[in-house]
Amino acid sequence: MNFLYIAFYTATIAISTILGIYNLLFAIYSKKAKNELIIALPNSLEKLLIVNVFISFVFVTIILFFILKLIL
Amino acid sequence: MLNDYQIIKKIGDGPALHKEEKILLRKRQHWLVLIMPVFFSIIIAIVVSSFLYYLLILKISQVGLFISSALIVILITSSAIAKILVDWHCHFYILTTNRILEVCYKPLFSNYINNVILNQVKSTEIDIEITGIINQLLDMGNVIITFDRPTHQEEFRLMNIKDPKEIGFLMSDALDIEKPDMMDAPIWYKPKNESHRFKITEEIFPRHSLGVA
Repeated sequence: MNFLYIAFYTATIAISTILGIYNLLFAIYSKKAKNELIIALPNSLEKLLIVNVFISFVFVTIILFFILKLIL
Repeated sequence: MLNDYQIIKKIGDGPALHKEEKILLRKRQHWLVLIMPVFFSIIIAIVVSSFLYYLLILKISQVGLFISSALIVILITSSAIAKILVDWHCHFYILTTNRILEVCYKPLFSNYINNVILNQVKSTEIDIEITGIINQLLDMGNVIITFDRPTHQEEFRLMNIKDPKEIGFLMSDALDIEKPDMMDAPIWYKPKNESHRFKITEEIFPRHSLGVA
């Protein structure tokens, strides 16, 4: 059963990491619009993207904590 | 085949706006188009979280599993909402005295810029569509401009914009500039601006309102 739990946690950590990388790239490309197409995102939207990136990596840490708790 | 970097270059690298070219209109889609996808994203997140709660807490009593999967659901929802908002913000229409431009930039996914040079198109037809109760109440609709041009697209669509009637009038004025001998483009609505009248009916029946004006 423990093996199943660890597999589940590993899957969630993988999804969370992928989403974190996606959010980071999305934020970078949204910023790029300002330089290339003069489309400036409003401050609130820029903050939302940064918060998204931040919470992605916070969530990875939290899930990692659960895995370690289960293993150790 | 052109690559993205060849099609979209920095505005600073391109030719400057012509001296007489003025921006007449900048328009985004109505904010209402955001409501439904954002609302559905939240509803789906709540439903999935409830299911996970039932499965992982009530059935197998695994709080850790529930928290980590709920975090994933929150992350996916916030990412989806951010994408919806950014895509809406980066999709807009610009009308200048020389061109109509549609910019649709979806960061990380696609770029689309449709630029129509007004003095290179022959004939035009401007259709205004306002369909449905909500659209009528919120004054939201589409303006469809048909061009007689030999390229791939004959229609330029401004979708789900606010005040489509006013935009239609503005478009007809802008598109008539280079064609003084053309008949005034008819638009079968009474505008908020009284200087625009029902042009065709007034030309045919100068002193009759026909019960519509």
